[in-house]
Amino acid sequence: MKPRGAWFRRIVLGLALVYFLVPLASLADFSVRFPLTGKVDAAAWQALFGGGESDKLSLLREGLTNSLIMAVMAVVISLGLLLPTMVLVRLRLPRMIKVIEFVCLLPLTVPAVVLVVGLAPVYLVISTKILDSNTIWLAFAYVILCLPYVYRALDSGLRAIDLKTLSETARSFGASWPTVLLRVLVPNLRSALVSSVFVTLAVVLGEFTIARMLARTNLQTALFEINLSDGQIAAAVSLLILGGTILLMVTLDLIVALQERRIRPSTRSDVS
Amino acid sequence: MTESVTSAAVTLSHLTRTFGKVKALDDFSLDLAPGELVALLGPSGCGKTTALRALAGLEGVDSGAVVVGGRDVTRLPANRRDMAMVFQSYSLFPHLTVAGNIEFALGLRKVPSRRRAEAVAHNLELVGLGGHGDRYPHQLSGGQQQRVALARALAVRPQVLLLDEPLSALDAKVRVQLRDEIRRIQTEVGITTLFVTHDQEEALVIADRIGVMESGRLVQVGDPREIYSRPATPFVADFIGTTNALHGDAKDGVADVLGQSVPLLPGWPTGPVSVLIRPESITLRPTADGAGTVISTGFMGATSRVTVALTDGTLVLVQLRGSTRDGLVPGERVAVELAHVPALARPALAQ
Amino acid sequence: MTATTTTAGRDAVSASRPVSPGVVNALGTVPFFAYTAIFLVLPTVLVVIGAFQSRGGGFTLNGFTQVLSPRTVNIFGTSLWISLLTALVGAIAGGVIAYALSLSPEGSLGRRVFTALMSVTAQFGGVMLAFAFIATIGINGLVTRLLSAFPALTPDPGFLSSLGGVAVVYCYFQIPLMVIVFLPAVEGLRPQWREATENLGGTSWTYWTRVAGPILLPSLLGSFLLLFANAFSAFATAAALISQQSVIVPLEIESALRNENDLGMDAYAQALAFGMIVVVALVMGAYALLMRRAARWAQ
Repeated sequence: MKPRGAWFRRIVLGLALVYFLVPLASLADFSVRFPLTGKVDAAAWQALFGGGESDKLSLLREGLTNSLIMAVMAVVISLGLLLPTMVLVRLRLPRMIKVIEFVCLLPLTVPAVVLVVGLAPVYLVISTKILDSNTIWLAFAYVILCLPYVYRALDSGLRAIDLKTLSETARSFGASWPTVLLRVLVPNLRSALVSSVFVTLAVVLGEFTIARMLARTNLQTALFEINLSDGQIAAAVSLLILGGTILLMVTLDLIVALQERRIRPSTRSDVS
Repeated sequence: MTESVTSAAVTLSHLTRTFGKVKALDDFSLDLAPGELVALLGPSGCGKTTALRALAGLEGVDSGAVVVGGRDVTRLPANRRDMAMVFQSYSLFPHLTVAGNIEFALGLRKVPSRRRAEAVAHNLELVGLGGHGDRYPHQLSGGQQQRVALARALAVRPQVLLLDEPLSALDAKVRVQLRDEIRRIQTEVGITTLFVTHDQEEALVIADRIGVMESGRLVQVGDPREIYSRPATPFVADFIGTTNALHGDAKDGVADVLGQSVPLLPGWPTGPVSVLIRPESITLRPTADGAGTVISTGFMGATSRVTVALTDGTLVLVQLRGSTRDGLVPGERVAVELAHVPALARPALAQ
Repeated sequence: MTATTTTAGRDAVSASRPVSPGVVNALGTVPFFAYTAIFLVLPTVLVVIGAFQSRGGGFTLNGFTQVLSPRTVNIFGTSLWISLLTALVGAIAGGVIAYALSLSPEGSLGRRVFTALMSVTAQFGGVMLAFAFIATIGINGLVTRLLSAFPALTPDPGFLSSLGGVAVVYCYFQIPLMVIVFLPAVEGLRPQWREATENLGGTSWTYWTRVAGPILLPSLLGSFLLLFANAFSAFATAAALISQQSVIVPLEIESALRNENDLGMDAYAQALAFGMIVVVALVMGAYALLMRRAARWAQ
């Protein structure tokens, strides 16, 4: 409608795009350029994919494995904990909604660096008396870090569907609660669940503070260590993760958008 | 206290506006006399809102002229034309109170605060919301919000009032109430008004004249009675009210339909035609060998609607007065009697 | 949560049950509360109590005395300052970008991609981000090399490990966070409001100062506060860039934790953490209030 708006938009978004992509380009450049000699080669990449065994790579592998396992654990625990509780509360205990919301948003007020101070004694007990000192048990803490985001995603998803009617209809047909949850609600909460999974993944894979302060090895601490000895490999891995996450996010977003268009065609009339 | 506003005459001449491949306005011309309420009526996509926005200055035109009160405003930006508009929804500024909304434009024109307060009070009374000045839009119902929007528009005493489907987003009952209110206020204030709607009943009830639009073109302009009983084209006949299409044979301005002679409106074709007859222009008489068979009846309070099937399969919708003593039942044979009222005819489509 | 299949069955079961359905339902929330009690509430309580507790278990204000030392106050000041600065830059730049984005046709490919990019960059792990910036404006950085022809423009190699460098890197995730948090508010600006302003005789200036500005203000302030809390709580980025001393509170907490052996540091880490909780809680409280106001106006 307004031609001047188009130029403003293009310039601003264009500049922003450059600003955000330059560091990624730099990572790419850095990963192939040997810092001291300026020589360009793909040594770092070859090391990563060539399969050669080295200390640095085994540390990275350990960190990556731990982080991936913890990501899966965090997704399962957070969704398994939050979804049934939120559904239950919305259907049967409406007065508890505010309480649940408060608890879920509390981690926003208690940053990771503060939480870890209080977690240190808790994990001391866990690693000595209950479980072991395996890094993956950090997943329990990671669930807390993801709580606000997962809550928000699920909350907006639950608001968008008519929870009461859906579950009552399913129940009147004889469905048990697990069935209602898994076969009726989950399919209708697809985009909320996808964004929950994504944000949990992002938080866990990017988590550094707690792992570092509790002296465990995860992806980010491994990267940190590797950088001290081989900056190129660190740059290459960082680029893979960052670039990969962007691609993944964009693809997921497009898929969800296409699905939504099939279910709910837009009812917009432009000229009237 | 009635407002005497210097309302202006409006002339829209030969407006054209194209969006990509779509011609939203196609040589569109319309005149509004001072103080007149003209309704622009048509289905979605016909260009009626584009015409309104072209008058308001919110939309440009590719060619043509907009003249208001003798002044050519075609090149003037929207904020320099002396008009006010009520939108279909989201009219009001959410962060201002009702009073704040109404006096918004007055504040822009540096009207002193006492005069502003008077204008707010006066216009609130006018729309029936006196005393609501301190409320916020989100505390009001849809109907109340539109009233405030109207008050805000009238507060600036514009030359022209523009209403863009103001009732379409409201509940049916509120719609009926509010449209009568709008008409009352418009007449009281005497302001030239352009009212856009897709609801033909609305247009028929409140307008001085109606302009029917299709695909960017003005198809017919006239007062409601004329539009209803003398539709210029089959499109108008179909769009306004309900109509039946019965086969007949036309010759010399008269069509032979179901063995009866029906006078035709000027411009009639000859030969096999479809004659467009209104449901209320038909009466039914139970007869053992009647031309039609009752399919279904519906009692609607003051009227009854009866669907009758003719021998050739055509379905005819008939509107009878509810007090008709003979309760017709499905399956009954009836004679279909057509009133001697001029009807529109169009050439029959080849079967 | 009981699993029964028929209404009659359900009624029959509940009739014979001595426990009311309300209690059964409440029990369903136990897993959630138990979990958060252990991993969220307990640590927070430990921090609060620990701030006042000496190694022997007795009451002490040693931790707070340490916190109030000039050095630590300075560190708090630096944290607050860098949070304020990066929140301001993020709010302004992010706000402009959000507005530009809202002008793009909704659902267009470009807009979706850009929004996805913003979501990801807002969540970028601090370590990888630090590396990216080292690769850009560090000693061997791409941009450093490209600009080396112009000595005046070349970034100082030590810049990144200074506070200024940290601030620049913070902005990298503050801006996208602003875009994400603020975009819904900008999208909530109805075109009718702009048109109504024009129609009633206002100009663009009128629109921005009297309509859009006031309407967006609560969301703008709220988002600013969120950015502030976000920067204040950040640890990883600074940890990856600064190795020598602790210039901000999170780094000081780490060094305090490492120093557990020093008796003089009793309750220090906890007191620092306690101080952080207070600051962030105040900021988030104000944020919640502002968001509630903004929500009231969004019909």
